[in-house]
Amino acid sequence: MLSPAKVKYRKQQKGKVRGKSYRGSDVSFGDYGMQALESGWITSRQIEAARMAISRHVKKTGKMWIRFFPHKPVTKTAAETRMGKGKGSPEEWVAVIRPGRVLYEISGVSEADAQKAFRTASHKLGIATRFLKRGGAL
Amino acid sequence: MEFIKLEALARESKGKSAARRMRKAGRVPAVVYGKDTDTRKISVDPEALIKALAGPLRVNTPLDVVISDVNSEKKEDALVIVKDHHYDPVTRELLHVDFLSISESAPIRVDVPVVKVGRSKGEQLGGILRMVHRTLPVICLPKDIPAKISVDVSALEGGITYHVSELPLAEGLTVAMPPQEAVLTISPIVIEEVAPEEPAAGKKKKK
Repeated sequence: MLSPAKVKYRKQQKGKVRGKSYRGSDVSFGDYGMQALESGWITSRQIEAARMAISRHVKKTGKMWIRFFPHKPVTKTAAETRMGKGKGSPEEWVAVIRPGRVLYEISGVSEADAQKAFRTASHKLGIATRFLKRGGAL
Repeated sequence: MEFIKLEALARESKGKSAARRMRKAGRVPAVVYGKDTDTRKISVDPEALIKALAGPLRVNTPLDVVISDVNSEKKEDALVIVKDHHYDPVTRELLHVDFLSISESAPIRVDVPVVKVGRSKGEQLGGILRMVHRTLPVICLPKDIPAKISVDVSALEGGITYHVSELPLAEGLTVAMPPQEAVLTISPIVIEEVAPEEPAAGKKKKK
């Protein structure tokens, strides 16, 4: 599973996810992409599950790119713990996603296979996504 | 040469509030700039622009923009090409367009898509074709802009790199790249050797 090799601070505040992702919102490497339509957190487990789902369709002929990384640590207080006594310990890593972000890209497969791969992978993520082809608005 | 006409309105307003009002009214703020011309703020109808760029040249289509001034009823012509455009990542609606003012007699630089034709011999035998460049910067006159550069790969075998120098270019076109630059590569065919299985009798179990 993906996680940073080294971080400056072990714990972070929750923060708010505002606005849209204007950067990283185009298909830049492959032929087809999966774009987020909602904001939210995607955990490293979800990233790995979706990657496995896509790689089953891509097989040896295609190539896949993951365009996001879980930089944010999420802490959890242990079960049956009374309130107080400080912030819990880091439990997992999440990627903060804004609408418009391209999450995965693939090339070397047919459009039908790409759509199938991304549809299966989207079920592993907690946010709404859509299929995207290379090219801008014009 | 006749170019596609696009109606535009000159605008005085600037800034995000005015731009948002303009988008709400169904128009897209744009700007025209160039080498020997003054920068002009204009607005265009997004549907008309998309329709004008729907031809084979797509975003490289030279446009004859007719800029009308509402106050003075003056009309001005400018030959332009789309230099840049911004759009909403979710709704894919146009937010802003940059037009570069060009001259009919001066060469310009445009990004032309490279399209592979056919299926290479290398791919048929299991190799993988990789496009190193999907578009190439081409220098040519506005009337000579090609819709695409087609590369016939059907005769290419595995382990081959196709270079810029091998491109079938029409007269008057120059690719602004070194001739030894790779356009596409076909990976060599790797035949995996399956090692014969050893008899299981000699294996020892580890605890």
